[in-house]
Amino acid sequence: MDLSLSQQDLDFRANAREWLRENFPKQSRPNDGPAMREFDLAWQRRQWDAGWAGVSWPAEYQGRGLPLLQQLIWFEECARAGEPDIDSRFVGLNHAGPTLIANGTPEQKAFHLPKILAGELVWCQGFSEPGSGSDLASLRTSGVIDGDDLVVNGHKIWTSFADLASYQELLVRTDPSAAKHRGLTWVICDMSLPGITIRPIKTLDGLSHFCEVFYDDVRIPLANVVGQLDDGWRVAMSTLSFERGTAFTAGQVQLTAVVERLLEVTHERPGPAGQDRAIDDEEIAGQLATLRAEVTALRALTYTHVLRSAGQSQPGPEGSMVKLFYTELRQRVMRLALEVIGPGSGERGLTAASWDEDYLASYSDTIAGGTSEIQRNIIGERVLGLPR
Amino acid sequence: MDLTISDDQRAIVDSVRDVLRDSMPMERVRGALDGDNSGVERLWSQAADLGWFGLGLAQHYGGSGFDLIDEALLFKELGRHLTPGPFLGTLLGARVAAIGGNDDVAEQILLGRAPVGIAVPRRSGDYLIHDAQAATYLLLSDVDRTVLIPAAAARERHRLASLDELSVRESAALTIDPFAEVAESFDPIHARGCTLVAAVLTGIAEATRDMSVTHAKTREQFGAPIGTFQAVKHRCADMGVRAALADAQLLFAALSVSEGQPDAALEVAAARVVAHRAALSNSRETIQVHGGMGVTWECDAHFYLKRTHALRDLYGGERDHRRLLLTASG
Repeated sequence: MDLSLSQQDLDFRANAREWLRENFPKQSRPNDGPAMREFDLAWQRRQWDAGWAGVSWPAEYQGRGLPLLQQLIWFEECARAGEPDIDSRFVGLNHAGPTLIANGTPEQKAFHLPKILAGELVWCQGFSEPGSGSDLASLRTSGVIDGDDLVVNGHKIWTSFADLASYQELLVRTDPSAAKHRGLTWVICDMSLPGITIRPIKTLDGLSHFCEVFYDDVRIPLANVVGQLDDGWRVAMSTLSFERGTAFTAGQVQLTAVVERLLEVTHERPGPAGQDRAIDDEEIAGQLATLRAEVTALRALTYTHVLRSAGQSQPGPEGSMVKLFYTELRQRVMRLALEVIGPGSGERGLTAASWDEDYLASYSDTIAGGTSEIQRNIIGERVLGLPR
Repeated sequence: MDLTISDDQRAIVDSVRDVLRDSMPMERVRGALDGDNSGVERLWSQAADLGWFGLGLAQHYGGSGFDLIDEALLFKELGRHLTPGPFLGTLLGARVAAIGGNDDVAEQILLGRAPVGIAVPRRSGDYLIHDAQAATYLLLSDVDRTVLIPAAAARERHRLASLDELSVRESAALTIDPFAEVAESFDPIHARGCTLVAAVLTGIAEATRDMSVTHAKTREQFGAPIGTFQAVKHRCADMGVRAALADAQLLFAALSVSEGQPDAALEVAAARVVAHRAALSNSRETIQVHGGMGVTWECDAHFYLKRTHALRDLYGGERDHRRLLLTASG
């Protein structure tokens, strides 16, 4: 075992850092709407043009085909440069892309993967429904085969960026007579099809990334089914384990940088009880020390998980440990940040977002992509082997 | 970067587990409490024969030439099995004697004939001595240097009450006249000590996780194993996360010390803090998961809790590492 980076890895890091210094967008990122979409996609296009897109994606799909370790290094360098941990490229790069690589037909891969990598468009996810949140497999949006099409009727919710997306990974029930985890189908939905209505939902941070999506006799070609008809649960779970395993890596790396920034801040500002420096406050110092130990350990857990799952077609259930710990830690970090900076300062944090916005946004972390409660079920049952 | 456990390392872990299962099962650990030291003595001589005390010491010093990570794997097992005895002081003491140029003493320690206790300064000016019984030498370590002194240098020795019945602690006044000394900058004994304490604590966090899971799978209430209930399942899941986190960070700490990585101090402090918190939370939680059994003497849970408390100040507790965590560069 060793931690040292090879000369190739070191060169890769140096090149990445150099390129990011020159090319990372200087202007601040709009936090909502079409302007944000254009900003995110322009940034992806710039990476694509310079050969930095899809570091660990296979070369046959226009990725760089480099080891996962270099993908982690790339994420680390992007976080260092100030990239937000999640933006409108997230579903395309971290859900749909890996799912198509694992399950798509040659035609689906050839059509969609280059568009995702080149930053041509945004993807969104259509999994949750008003009646099917944690109990995802109970979903009722139906897909009925009619000729060469699947005719979809129903209602999806919590779909981030649906109003900005060109495609959606959509999970529908195609066999209502089968047991609930069977009879589901994962299909690529073109968001411009007739019969789709999108309604944005304003979230507690005042932004409207979330949407509801209504489907009224939407005709999706059967050629868009990914994996087999009625095999959507397996395909969806591969997508989710990508999310829980590796997709949050960029955010985890960024969290380390946030704690380091907070450490600087506590040396620069007065403490809550009138101390010259916030770091002289016992409680703040104690919490910050623990958080620094925890973000350091999160990095170790992430690296260990990612490098040990290299070579598997999809990451194992241990990814739920990373997801659970990361999201709860992020909330603790953001709570302390608010304590140190003061609520409502509007001050810009590490990325374009303010400390207030990052704090408020962290509340969705322990819900999106499977709540902390669901992650604990997965860890209990599939990692520790407890009975269901 | 390579984080996979090698076949050699698996073999070390398997062999340590076999030895501990055969020579020091829980009945013998409990036997030691009632004054029956036969198990402890047998294990001690086996450990010497197997080269445990020189596991990470270079071969030209008389060691086995493995790395700190391999020593950490050994100490994780010692933590898991609640093994009593001055293993940590003896392993580090052999290293200090060997590197400090005292070959004869190093040889005696490596052969298990000269156990080493660990002295920790107290605010009152005297010292707390871990594993004081039968120690021939004492080890004193801080972030600048580590010294080895004869145990005879300890005066006014008093046995202290210990929450952990399995580890003997004394207070003593010491005259420090070292005959072997190693500067931290030459060989990071203090960092290695911190890492190995983190390893013991990680072993405790894993053992208590496993005890809880086993109990939750077999104990039935309301007609079902209690592990089916989320209130219990989720406690176990959190124990699993804490143990995994401590284990991953232990790996990073051990490797960064051996490789002399620039962020080694941060990695070690993080490992020590995360492992202590994991061991403490998991041993508390396993008592709760075991219900009425959990608070009995018969259930092993309390030994893990007490051992964790006893290790609080060995190679720095959370407070000692706080300053480091707030200043070290990552």
